[in-house]
Amino acid sequence: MSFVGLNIAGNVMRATRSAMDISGQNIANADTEGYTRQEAVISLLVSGSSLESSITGGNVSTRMTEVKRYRNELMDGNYRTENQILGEREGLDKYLTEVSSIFSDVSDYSLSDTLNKFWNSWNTASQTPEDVALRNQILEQGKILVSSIKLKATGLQELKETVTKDIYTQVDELNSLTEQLASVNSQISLAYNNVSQTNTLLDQRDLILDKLSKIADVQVVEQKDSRVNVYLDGTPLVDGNNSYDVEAQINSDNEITFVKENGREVEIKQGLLKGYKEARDEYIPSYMDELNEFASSLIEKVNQYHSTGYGLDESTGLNFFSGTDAFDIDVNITDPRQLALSSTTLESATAINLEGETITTTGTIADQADSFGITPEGSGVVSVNGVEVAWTDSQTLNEILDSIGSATGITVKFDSSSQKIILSSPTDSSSITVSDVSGNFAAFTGLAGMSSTTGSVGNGENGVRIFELSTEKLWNNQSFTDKYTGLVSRIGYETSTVNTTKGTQEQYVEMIDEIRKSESGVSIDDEMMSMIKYQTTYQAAAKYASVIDELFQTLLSDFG
Amino acid sequence: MRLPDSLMYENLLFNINKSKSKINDIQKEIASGQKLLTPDSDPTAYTRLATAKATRSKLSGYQENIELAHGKLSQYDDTLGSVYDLMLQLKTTTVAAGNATSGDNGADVYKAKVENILKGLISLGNTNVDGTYAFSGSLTDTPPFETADNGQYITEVSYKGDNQSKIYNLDASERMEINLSGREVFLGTAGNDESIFQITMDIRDSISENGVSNIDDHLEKLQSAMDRMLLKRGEVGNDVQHLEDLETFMDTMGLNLDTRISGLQDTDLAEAAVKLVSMQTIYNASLAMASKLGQMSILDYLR
Repeated sequence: MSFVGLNIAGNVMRATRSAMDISGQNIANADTEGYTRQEAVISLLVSGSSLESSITGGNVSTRMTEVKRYRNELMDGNYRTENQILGEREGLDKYLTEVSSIFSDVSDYSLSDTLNKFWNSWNTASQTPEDVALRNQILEQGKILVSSIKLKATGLQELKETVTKDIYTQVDELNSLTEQLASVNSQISLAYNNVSQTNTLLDQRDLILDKLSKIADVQVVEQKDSRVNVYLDGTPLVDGNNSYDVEAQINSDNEITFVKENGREVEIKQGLLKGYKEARDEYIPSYMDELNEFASSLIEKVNQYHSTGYGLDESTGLNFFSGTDAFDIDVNITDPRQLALSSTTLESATAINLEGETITTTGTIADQADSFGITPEGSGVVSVNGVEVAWTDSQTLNEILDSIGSATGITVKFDSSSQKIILSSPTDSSSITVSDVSGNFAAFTGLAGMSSTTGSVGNGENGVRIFELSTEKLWNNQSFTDKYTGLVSRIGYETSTVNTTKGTQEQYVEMIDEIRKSESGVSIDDEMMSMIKYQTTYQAAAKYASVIDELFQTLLSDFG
Repeated sequence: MRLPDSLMYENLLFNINKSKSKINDIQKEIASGQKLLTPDSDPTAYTRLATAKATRSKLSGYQENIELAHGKLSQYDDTLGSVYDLMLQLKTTTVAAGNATSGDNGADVYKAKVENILKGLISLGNTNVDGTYAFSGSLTDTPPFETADNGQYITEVSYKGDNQSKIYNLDASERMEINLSGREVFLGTAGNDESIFQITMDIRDSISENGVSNIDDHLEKLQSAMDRMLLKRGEVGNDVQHLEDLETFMDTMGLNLDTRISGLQDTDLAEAAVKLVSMQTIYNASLAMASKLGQMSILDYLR
């Protein structure tokens, strides 16, 4: 009889104590981020080859041979790859949602409703153009419209600045993470033989890698000694115990670029940084361009009509809007009497002899709705849109009109009921320029009036023409409302698409994470069960030791 | 599959938050009464809504114009009626003056009476509503008729307005030109022969102790002026009828658009309330489940 029995009991008690400690550590860290479940591996201790076994004749005992770390490395890799894609979607989604809320105008004070009210104010005032109070309405609605356009423009501008700041913050985060990783690497190489310390460091390492994968598409290469090297676009961010910083810079095109310490530009293809960059350099500028295009067309079109009309105070040639884009658009007119609601239509000639008349004409007609009353006399050459048409005394007025029409493609006809010559351009946006090349200009009282006589107070034709702009199809069959609505619905579509793909990717990443965690996460139930298991084993071993002890006692006392 | 505790709680929290945010969305819909809170909630409906609103807004503009034109025409109709009445009175007076026998000393009385009718006609011509002159064409701040007199009688009436028609946009393609300038209504287009004022002044000047000279000629001119006036009123009446038809048409169209807009943007309260209740049930269930699961522990079964 040897002390082998006590040896066995001691080994079992030592092994189960360690195993219980590990269960305790698991329970304590059940909620610790990045903690990986560990398990004691208790295996046979065959002491057959040792000196001891040669004495005892080959007894068997147990000991804790390993602390196993439950980590699914395949799923870790999958998780990080998919997390990079998710990062990009999340970054883009975050700011597109913001854009969407800037343009979330479904209320009665939205830009499109303001635009409708603006057009209607022209209509209302034009029906009684002499009413200054109604004219004031145009100025008020104009100011509201201008401020809501500016609000959107500055909203986008400010958002762009916010994204820029966020990019800087994320780059700082990236640099801080790579720095931490380099330090963890150096500790891993030092603690290579200490199992429990190494496991903790590996947890830290994996957590940092998870976080890194959200920010950018980094490539991870694990070394034999469990240290990892991290590369971005082929250049190292972490190489062993060293880390290298990345910096965000704004280039000459006002776009974000990422530059390494050594000056090399790196391309980030996934992750939050990519999403933010897309929002800042692609989506927001394109929305801004479209908003600017909308504003500048509004300025241009309204001004084009407004400047040809006449105000109550006989002013003309004034622009309604000042500025050129969504940022500097403003209402130029301050005096409501200067609003050019009147067109240049002049009083028609009361008597005109159609037989054998000849015409000449000068001046600029901005729109097909313009008409002139004239008193033709004399002869000469008329130039319409640069096309010169000559006539002789022998032609009738209608023949002359026909020859102008066929030479220029412009519809020219004499309306006998209103005693007016109507020039209509086949394309609505081009203007008609009429001037006399030779001939008796002075005879044309109506046209002479073009430049000297102003419109009359009761005429609201020009205002109505501006009102008609509201549904005029200016771009590819699109009106101002369509244009703006097109922008907003584009934002809506893009936001909801990104939001949906983000949601799908999120679920995918969640699923992978769940598989990962189902292996590496701590289950209290499991731990309690192993606790009981080890406790019972420990108790049994202790009992065994005490029985052996009793045996010795018996032996010693009987022989003593 | 193993289910670690942290994963279980993460899942519970995720699902609770999900149903809570859905409840929040429905509450917002109900509280604001609007379905489309941001353009990304339904971009297609948003586009349709904006187009419908723009169409509705423009229609309101046209409805306003039609109402204005209608008011204006009714006012013209009243004025033309009064002018016709005065002309009828002039006719009676002329016939009476023509039948007067010599020595009645009535000539001055008739002359004064005609002069009053003339003044009445001029004042109707200078009708001013809400600060604008109805018959001066587009020069609405100028009284259309100016008179000159010889101390006793008005000798000349001149027109200071213009011949411009008032144009109302009734819809995108239709414009109603209301050409009731003073020249058109009172002066006519064929020179002095058609001018109501000239006819009246001529009648006045023809009255003498011996009746009215050239009475047939005068009455004939007066009658044709009255016929023209009736014709004008008839035209006004036709226009009014057309406007009324348009009004009815546009009211129906407006109602249809309003229904469409409401369908696109307004929350269907009944539907939203039902959705809210069902979401609440789910939310309650997930909370109850969380509390039940939280109570379950292996520790309860271990001594």
